[in-house]
Amino acid sequence: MSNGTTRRAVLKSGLLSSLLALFQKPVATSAHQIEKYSGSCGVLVDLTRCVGCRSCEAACNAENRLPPPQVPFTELSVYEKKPNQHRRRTDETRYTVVNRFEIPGREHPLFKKVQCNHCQEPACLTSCFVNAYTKTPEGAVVYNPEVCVGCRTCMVACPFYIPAFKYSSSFKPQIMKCMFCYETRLQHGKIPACVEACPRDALVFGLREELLQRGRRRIANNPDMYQDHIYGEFEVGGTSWLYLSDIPFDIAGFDTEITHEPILNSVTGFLGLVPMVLTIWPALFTGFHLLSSRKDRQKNEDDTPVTDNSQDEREGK
Amino acid sequence: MIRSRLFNTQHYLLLATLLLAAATTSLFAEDSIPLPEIVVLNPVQNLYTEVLFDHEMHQDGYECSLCHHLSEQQDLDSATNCELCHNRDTKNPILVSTPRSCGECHHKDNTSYNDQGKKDRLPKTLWRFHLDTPSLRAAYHLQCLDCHRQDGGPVGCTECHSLSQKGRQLFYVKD
Repeated sequence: MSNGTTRRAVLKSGLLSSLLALFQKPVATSAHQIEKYSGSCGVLVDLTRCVGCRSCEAACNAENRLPPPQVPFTELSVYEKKPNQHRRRTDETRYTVVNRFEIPGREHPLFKKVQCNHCQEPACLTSCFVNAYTKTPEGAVVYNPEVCVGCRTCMVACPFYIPAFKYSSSFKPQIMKCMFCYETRLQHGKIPACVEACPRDALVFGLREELLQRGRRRIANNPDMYQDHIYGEFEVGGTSWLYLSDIPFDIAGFDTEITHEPILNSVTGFLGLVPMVLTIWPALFTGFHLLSSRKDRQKNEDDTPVTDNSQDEREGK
Repeated sequence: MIRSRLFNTQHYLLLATLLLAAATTSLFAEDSIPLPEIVVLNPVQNLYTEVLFDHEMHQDGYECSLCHHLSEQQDLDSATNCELCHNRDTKNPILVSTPRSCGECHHKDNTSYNDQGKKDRLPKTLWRFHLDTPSLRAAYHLQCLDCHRQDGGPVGCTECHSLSQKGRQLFYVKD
């Protein structure tokens, strides 16, 4: 104890600072000011241009070597939706699907492509405790099946219900989701397969900032047609895939109630407490217990003077 | 006195201009240009075969400028914002350039990674304006399909072009 630090002082200051931390407000962060991944890429989806040809679905299937479809990709009957049927969604056999929406008053049905939106602050990545997910500088959210334990927390965490589980091979768990063609294309300077397949440039690949410019310009040039919003600019802290639409986004099946903060922000407060609860509480309450039981122990020791024979006597009785 | 002379000068000028315009029009009149009957459209032949476009049928009912929105002979189509700069206004010679073939503006690939190259070639101010030009394939599909949807033309993929062998394979179409 030559430097004047005692164990008591360390414990006291540690306890004090963690107690202070408990009552401090978390630092407010604004999702709109995220400047991470400034050179990241994205895709601008213009729903006014999509005619539902399903070329993107076919290209995705071939690129990712997914199982053959039940009906050919030229088949448009897949858009028929029975009253109690859910809309088609991504699963272990398809990373992207196009859905048709019959909009009253709109001349043609609306087609909406669904795939991983490659969030700027991905909830799947945050929720994964084995770090199977990575956000690459190009903007892709990629997944590594080698470390995945198949807990499927990412499926719960995703606000867009995108990651699908490969139930056909549960012993070798694998999450199936769009990877932005990162391994096969993006890495090598090629654009994603679905974008390349789109005949009407309903999908346009580019730098995210540039796509936002493009989107804003299209809205400005055609204010009567477009909704004055780019879905994905702010949603859940921003996504790499951005959507333009001519009808309100909630009618087109988008979640417009979704937070503009990264999903991470709504759990940091709670998650910050977890290590404290796990490390400090046991020590603290053990201390309390020892303190409160100390008196009893001392009392017992005072009342019954311990002698060498006392143990043997008790056992003898 | 001076006013009336001025008026006369203006009159002459106007007459001269009209004559010149008439001469130019007759020179470039529709009859003098041999218009194609069938045009083979093959911007990208990959999943589908080429399109045999019946030019003769389309030229009867529609304005040329509907498709050729920046060609020299036609009035500019105000549906695009291109004419804001690419007009024939001789007062502003920098902006006179009037591309003729579709591919001059609408590039064959829509790969943005290659667009990066285009971005480097163009001055930054120009790049800003050419940010959102559709690719050649998209230009055809946007022009044709939008019109076909509106006027009841064929809208199915295989109604204009048929699937190539590669396309049949990709779409899982059985023979």
